[in-house]
Amino acid sequence: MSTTNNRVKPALVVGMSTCNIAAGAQEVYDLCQETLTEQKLDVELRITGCLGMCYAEPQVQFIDADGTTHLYANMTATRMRKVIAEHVVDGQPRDKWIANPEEGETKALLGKQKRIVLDNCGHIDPDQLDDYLAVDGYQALKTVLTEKSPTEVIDIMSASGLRGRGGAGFPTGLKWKFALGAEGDKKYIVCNADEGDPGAFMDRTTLESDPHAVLEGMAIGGFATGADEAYIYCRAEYPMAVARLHRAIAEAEEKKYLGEKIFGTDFNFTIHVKEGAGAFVCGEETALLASIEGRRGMPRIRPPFPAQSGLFGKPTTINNVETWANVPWIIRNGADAFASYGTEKSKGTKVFALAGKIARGGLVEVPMGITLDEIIHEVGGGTGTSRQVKAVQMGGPSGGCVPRELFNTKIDYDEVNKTGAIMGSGGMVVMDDTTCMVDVARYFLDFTQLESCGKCTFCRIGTTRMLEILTRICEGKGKAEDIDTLEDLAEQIRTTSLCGLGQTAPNPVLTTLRYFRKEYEEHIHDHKCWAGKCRNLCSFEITDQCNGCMVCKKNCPVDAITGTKKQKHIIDQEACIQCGVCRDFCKYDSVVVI
Amino acid sequence: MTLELSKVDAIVEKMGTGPQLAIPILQAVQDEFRYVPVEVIERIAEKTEMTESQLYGVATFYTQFRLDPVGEKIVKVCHGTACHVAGAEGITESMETRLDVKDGENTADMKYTLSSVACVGCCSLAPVVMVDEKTFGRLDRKKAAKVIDNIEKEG
Amino acid sequence: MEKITITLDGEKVAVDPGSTILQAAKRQGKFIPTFCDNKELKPFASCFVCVVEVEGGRGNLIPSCSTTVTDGMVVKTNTERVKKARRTCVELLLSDHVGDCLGPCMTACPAGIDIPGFISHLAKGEDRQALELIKHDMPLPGILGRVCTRPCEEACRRQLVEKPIAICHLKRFAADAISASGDEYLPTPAAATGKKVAVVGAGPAGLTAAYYLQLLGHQCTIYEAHEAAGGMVRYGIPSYRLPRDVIEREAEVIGKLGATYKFNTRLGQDITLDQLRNDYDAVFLGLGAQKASSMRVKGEDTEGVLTGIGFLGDVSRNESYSIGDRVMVVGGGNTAIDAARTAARLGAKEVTILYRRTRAEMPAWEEEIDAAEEEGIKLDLLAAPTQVDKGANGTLAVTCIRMELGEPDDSGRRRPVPQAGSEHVREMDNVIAAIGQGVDASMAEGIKQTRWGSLVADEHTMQTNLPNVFSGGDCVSGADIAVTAVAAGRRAAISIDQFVRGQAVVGDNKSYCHSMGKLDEIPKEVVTPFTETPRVPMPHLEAKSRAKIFDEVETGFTPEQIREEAKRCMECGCRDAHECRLRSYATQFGADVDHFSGQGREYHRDDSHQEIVHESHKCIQCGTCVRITENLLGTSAMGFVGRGFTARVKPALGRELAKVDGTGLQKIVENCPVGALTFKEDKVATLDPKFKRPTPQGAL
Repeated sequence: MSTTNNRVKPALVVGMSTCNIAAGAQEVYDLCQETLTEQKLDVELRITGCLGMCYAEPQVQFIDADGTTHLYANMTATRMRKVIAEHVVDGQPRDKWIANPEEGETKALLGKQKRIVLDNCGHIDPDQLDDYLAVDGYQALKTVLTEKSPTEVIDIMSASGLRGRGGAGFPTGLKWKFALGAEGDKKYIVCNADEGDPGAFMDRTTLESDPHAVLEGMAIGGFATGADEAYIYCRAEYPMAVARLHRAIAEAEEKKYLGEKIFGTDFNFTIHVKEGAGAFVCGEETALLASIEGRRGMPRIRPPFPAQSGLFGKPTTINNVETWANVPWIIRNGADAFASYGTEKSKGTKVFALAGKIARGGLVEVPMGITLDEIIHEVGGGTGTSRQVKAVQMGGPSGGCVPRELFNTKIDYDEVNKTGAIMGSGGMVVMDDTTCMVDVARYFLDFTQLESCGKCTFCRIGTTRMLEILTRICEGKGKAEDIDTLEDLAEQIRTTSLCGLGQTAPNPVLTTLRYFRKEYEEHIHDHKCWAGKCRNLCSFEITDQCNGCMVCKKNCPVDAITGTKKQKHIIDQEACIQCGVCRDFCKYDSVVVI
Repeated sequence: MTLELSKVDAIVEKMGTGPQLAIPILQAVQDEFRYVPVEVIERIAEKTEMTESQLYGVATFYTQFRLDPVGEKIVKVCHGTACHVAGAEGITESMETRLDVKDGENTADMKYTLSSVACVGCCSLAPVVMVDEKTFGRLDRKKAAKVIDNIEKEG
Repeated sequence: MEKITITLDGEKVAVDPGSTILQAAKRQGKFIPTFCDNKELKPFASCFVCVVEVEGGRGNLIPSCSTTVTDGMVVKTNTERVKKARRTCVELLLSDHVGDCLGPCMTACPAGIDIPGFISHLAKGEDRQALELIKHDMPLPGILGRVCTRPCEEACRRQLVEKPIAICHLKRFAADAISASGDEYLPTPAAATGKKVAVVGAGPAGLTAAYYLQLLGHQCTIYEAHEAAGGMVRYGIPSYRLPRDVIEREAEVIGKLGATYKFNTRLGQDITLDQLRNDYDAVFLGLGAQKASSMRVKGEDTEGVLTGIGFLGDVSRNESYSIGDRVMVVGGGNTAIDAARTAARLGAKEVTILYRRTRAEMPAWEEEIDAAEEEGIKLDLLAAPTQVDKGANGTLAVTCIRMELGEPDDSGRRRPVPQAGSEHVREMDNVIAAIGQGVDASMAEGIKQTRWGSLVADEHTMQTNLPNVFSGGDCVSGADIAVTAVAAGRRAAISIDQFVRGQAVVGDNKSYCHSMGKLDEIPKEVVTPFTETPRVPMPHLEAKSRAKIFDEVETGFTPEQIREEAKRCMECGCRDAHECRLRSYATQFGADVDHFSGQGREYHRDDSHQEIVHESHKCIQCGTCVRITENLLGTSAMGFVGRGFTARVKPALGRELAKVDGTGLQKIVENCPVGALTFKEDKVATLDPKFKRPTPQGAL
């Protein structure tokens, strides 16, 4: 609950990001619009981006005449009607639906967070430049253009300790320094917004909620490296992000925050948006550049690095969305402020997308150095069910599964690497004991195998061979030598592939083999998948705990469950297809794998 | 059905002819024709600096491009990690039954195309289905089938 | 420009700055394999077979084709890790490679004759070249052309259309035609080495060993216990199937090459192994398997009971041998059929073949069984003798029992089970037991033997435990087909050559050979271009006219028939088999095709172009052709299509090669490192002499 002293015009601010809309925000917005018009209420209706509390969307903030913000979560049109009637009109807050940052769940969620990148997200209207300007937007750009030299800017970046948030963690200041030092009449800035990791949505949210921060960061990078043109390479799967970027660029150009002679200086900077077309490998920088140039996204060997020869052969600085979004804050607040967060080698904050078997899924931004356990259990609230967290998958297809035993690992590039996973771009998919780790490895190999560009031998054929082995293990046809073959192949692909995709593709297999080898052995030797995922290797049974609620019976897709109300239900093993739906629906943990 | 290739010409006219435009031009023609017919690639190659090999190579590299006609609505079942662990496989199966097609196919009446897609970035609502641009979250097998039922009802 | 210094495999060398590791290493004479590197093109780094270790960095292997040398760089090109990566790279490519290096006939032939090659010569009327090619691997085509059991034809892909090519008859024709021309083919042997080799046994193995040893310049003396050459093909095969002059003329060739025959000289009796080992630089033992197996039936040594091999040998020496009226032949193999048909020719009125299983299980050739039946020989199946007694008037009383088939045995054939109470007695004049032969090698003193009495020799080099004694053929393998003995004789000759020259005995070079698989694994697209054309039947004497004489039954093809039959050949195998880098590296790195098996490419052969064949199932995605068309030819005829495992290199929009800009396309064929792009005019698998010669002397 934030309060300002001034009387303001009351406002309803509806979160309108992709996730909000998917959860039903459009209906809520429409209802607000209708009701406000119908009842001629003097209440402003605005939109904003995502607060990160995806588990409780849609959300609407009501700012009352005192300037106090009340956050309504899990809204529906019906609830909204009540909120307008009771709170907006009658001034009686509906406390039950309000997520109060000072208490309970919301406090737990926000307590350990430190928001730099997400600071404006869910507060400002991403489509209004004025909103961004009101929170000191473009002040950082003005400062560097009017008061600093490129070298000074780079020094600030270096001093801040910011490292690339795309996954590899290369020091940003150093990268910029290479680009500044590179010879060339023309240089480029590129923003990598090809967020292809399944399970990651940090960049989408940032672009949808605070696009100007990214644009400003890029312009600062342009000034620091001597570039006057930039591309944002954004996934086509993110239409709203693309639309908001286009709008933001147009407005910034119109109001001279981008374009020619920015802030009256000699600095010119134009930004283009390039939509990707569906290729995970384009997250790899040389493939991304090829794609912008209109070619197949096939990586090439480095060196030369893009800083020497990048887009159209010119020196190019590539950073991802989150990295760019950090830049204005660092300029405004100083390198020391940024570096005061984090560990010795990993400074600042990191945004994570929490998903999977987690109570409070969404976006969180935490200072580096806090532990996985703090993020998953304190911020995220654990699984939210009676089941225990088994592991967390970090870094998507390039990352690995960190078991619960290692949850005291600190968020720090090097510490995370030690587990075999990688920091990655920030996807965290939480898994419980219903997740089969062999299946997870198979899932990721299926992904990388499909996404391999097909250029180099080890990645193109090797990942397919690994997938075939994993598939056969999951189907109960694994051979005794399969684990050795997998390990051997994984190690060779890791060290003998052209680009990051191939070099990291084996990580999900290597980490699951390292921490969950027993599950592989059970699949191969005992023909058992105790997680209940691999259909050929498991059966389900209803225990005596069953109280006959009939939910499983209702949801069984093949009507294999019989039983009457308040009587124990029974699964017809002949008819059962081992889909596990009954277990998912059972609130009493009465369905078990046998 | 004959394709109005003049539309291709108009797109090229508007966007330009440089080789770096392969993806945007293909995106634009796909918006126009809903897929990228062979004749369209031939036409773009004729009208621009790009070769058929470049265009075909690009069109077959990126999953966004469809080289075959699609149904009126595209039902995309997300198979991102979060959706996978939340049972995306079952959602695809349910859709296959509901639409009576296999994954990747068009319905006989060409009303729907069922397709598995990589993460759509709505992980917190997993499992997720997108029908055209609209996202439906927190599904299970039955709710997934209902998504189609509702679309049918709305006509 | 001033050179920079790098450390290459521990040695400091000065190299040109700006060159790649690959270029620098090549200039230093180092071997680094590569598929995608091409001197006219910029580095691409797709194949990753050229990886090396470079000190520092993250410990990854580095593609040497795309990495520029830097001063002080420490490069290792041949560590175990590098070798393993190269082998894995090749194994991965092989797992996704669909095609045959060599025709399946060639692979199936124990002697490895270049079958598609010689057939293509025959099709063009080049009979002499055909024979030269055959004799490169197999010096007895007249003999084998008649008696070989034809594993090649069993593998022949033509069966997927109708019937296999008559490979064996074609081979016989080449031999007969040149012999009939009066200008026998006599290859020129290498200069004499002064080394002497004793060959014991003038059967297929010994003759073959002697033939190639002579060609390699070594002086052979062939010791033969019998009075003439041929061994089992003379004494185990009747003359109506293999005329004796054919044996003579092929044995004579070996004499003409300089070998000396010593007939009627038996090892262990007239000479000893010790003597030979002392007198010669090396010894080859090709003793055969000439001991008839026992029926294990009470009374089998009764007078009038003969062995198949003994009987055929006797008849071979005396075609007016006398036999009784009623003859029972026991056994189901070719020797049984030969004995039965021979008995009939000698005047037996009633010849019955008794076999304990059914006709389907008979090991004899189908055609031979048919021919026997045509000649009036009866088959009595599912029956076996249990006892032989003397009958009245010098006859034999043979007790037989009926059988039925039970469960399959170890060989997969259903086991015959006696039917209780079915015993009955038949009256016979002669019984010929033709149930197989064993090895008697007791005279080969000091050579390790198996418990069945056969000799032990290394299966690849044919060397025995006595270093200067080599052995092959039936005496090592047990009774087997003639072509296997020929193959063993040739392998032994190569090893003996190495041995007498004081080189390491490593045997013949064995090249990697990729295969599309067994007949039922062949993609159906392979045969779609072929239309049904019946196999030309072998002309033969009518049953009536032949049944009582020893004239050769199969009279041989006419030249017209030969051309017609030769044209049926589908030319399986790869045009590029001898230049293919994938095959060569697979051989060199000892790649195992089954190491990473899995789904492979789809078969897609584009024959549309006038000069060029594009077989994308053989492509390794190195991208050389794409880069040549794009960067050198400026045509974009080839491009990358799709991505990931199913990425392909082909013309855009599914076009045929004939429909793309064909300017300079020859260049992509010349630069394809495998057989994915080949010229139609190049022959399939016709052996390149430089590749084919396995010995340093270049004589073979």
